[in-house]
Amino acid sequence: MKKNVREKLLFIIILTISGNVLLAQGKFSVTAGWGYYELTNIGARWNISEISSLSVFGGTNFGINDKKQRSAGLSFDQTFRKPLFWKLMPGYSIGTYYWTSDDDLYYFSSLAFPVMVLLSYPVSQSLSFRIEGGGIFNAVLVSDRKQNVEAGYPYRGNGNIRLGVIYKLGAK
Amino acid sequence: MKNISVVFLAAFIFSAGGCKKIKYEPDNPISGLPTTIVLMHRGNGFNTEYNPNTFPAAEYGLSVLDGVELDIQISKDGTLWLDHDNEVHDCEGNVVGCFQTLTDSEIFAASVCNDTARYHTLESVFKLMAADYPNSYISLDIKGQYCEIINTKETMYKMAESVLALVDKYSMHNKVLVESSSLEFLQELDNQSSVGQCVISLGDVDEGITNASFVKAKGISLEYGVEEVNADVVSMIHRKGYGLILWVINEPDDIAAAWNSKPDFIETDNPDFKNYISK
Repeated sequence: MKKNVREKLLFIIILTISGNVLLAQGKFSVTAGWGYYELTNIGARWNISEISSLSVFGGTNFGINDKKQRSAGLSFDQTFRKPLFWKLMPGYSIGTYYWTSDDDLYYFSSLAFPVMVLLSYPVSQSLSFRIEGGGIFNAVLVSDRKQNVEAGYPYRGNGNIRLGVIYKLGAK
Repeated sequence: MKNISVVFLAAFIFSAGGCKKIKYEPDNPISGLPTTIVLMHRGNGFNTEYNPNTFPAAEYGLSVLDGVELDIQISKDGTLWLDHDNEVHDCEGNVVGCFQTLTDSEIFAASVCNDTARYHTLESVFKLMAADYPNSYISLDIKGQYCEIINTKETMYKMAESVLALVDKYSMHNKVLVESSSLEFLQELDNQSSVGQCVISLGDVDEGITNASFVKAKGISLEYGVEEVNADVVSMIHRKGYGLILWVINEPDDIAAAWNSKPDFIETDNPDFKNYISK
């Protein structure tokens, strides 16, 4: 067997084994949901520990109402061990988002910093629902006015809400 | 547990109260000034015969154009002084202190070099204008008080009150503009009509309009060249209810273009400004 083929094979084996080990340990989750700034989104989550995780997501509004919006972000979440009431686990989420808005009036791109509290409802070991609410702070990166009739600008501070479902891979 | 529940409830109520992502300004049309007023930047403009932001510079600028633009500082005694820097320098150029930490007599003592005063009060210029240039305009650039950051808020309030007091004293109503990026300063002036308060925008027109709306300013002060400002843009700014100051425009081609866009005020260093406007 040629050397480079052997190396590739070895790499795939290592990746498969480590991937299976991580998945078996429930180290990763996939997410989907909707948020005011996160839009309709899908993402992945690295479960750093039982209570904390690091997430990435990408979202879109599918160009509804002739306005194209996109978002992508990174967030760190932590849930507390003790339920707030019923089975609802409280927690918080902080992060950094990049979002764009493009319509006939303006193109904006902005960097946003959400500070949210969350309630997580575990349906099973692998599936949980989540609602997040809080505030978001915007720093406008690009503002391109396409006309001279309307004048607008993104709010520097705003409320934000996010709903999501999380599926933990490899959980027993 | 009860406290945590309250925090969660408050956060969700706050999030539910979120506005649209983009704030669009409603129309609130103003007519703008009938003709553009041209102000000599720093009093002296390109004329090096005078030190910028001094009484002689202001006297020169008032004699050449429609008015002057000057930078101001405030002393410990609450007197408004003309200068760009927050620090007071002695004759050798050493820093003596900051305007807001020095009394008027201390500033004056540091000011006189070779029997000539380098620092002058805003009141001396107002007195001159009231007597000899009653139809001229003055724009005051409220400089940041960076020497004593802790007390900036109080200093800005004090500056706003001092400007209003001087305007009343010399009956300079509707002849004085103030340009500032300090929210405290501008908010202190939001419920009066004798001074035209303008928010300085180092970004684009849209950011300027948003900031002006937030602090209830009457206009925006915009650096020329950040984005194209033509007659349509100025018309939009007026339709949204704000005046416009453009700075600093010196080149003949820029002068002609800026003049044709019909802003309310233009600041220039060029004493021959008006020779280029019919181009």
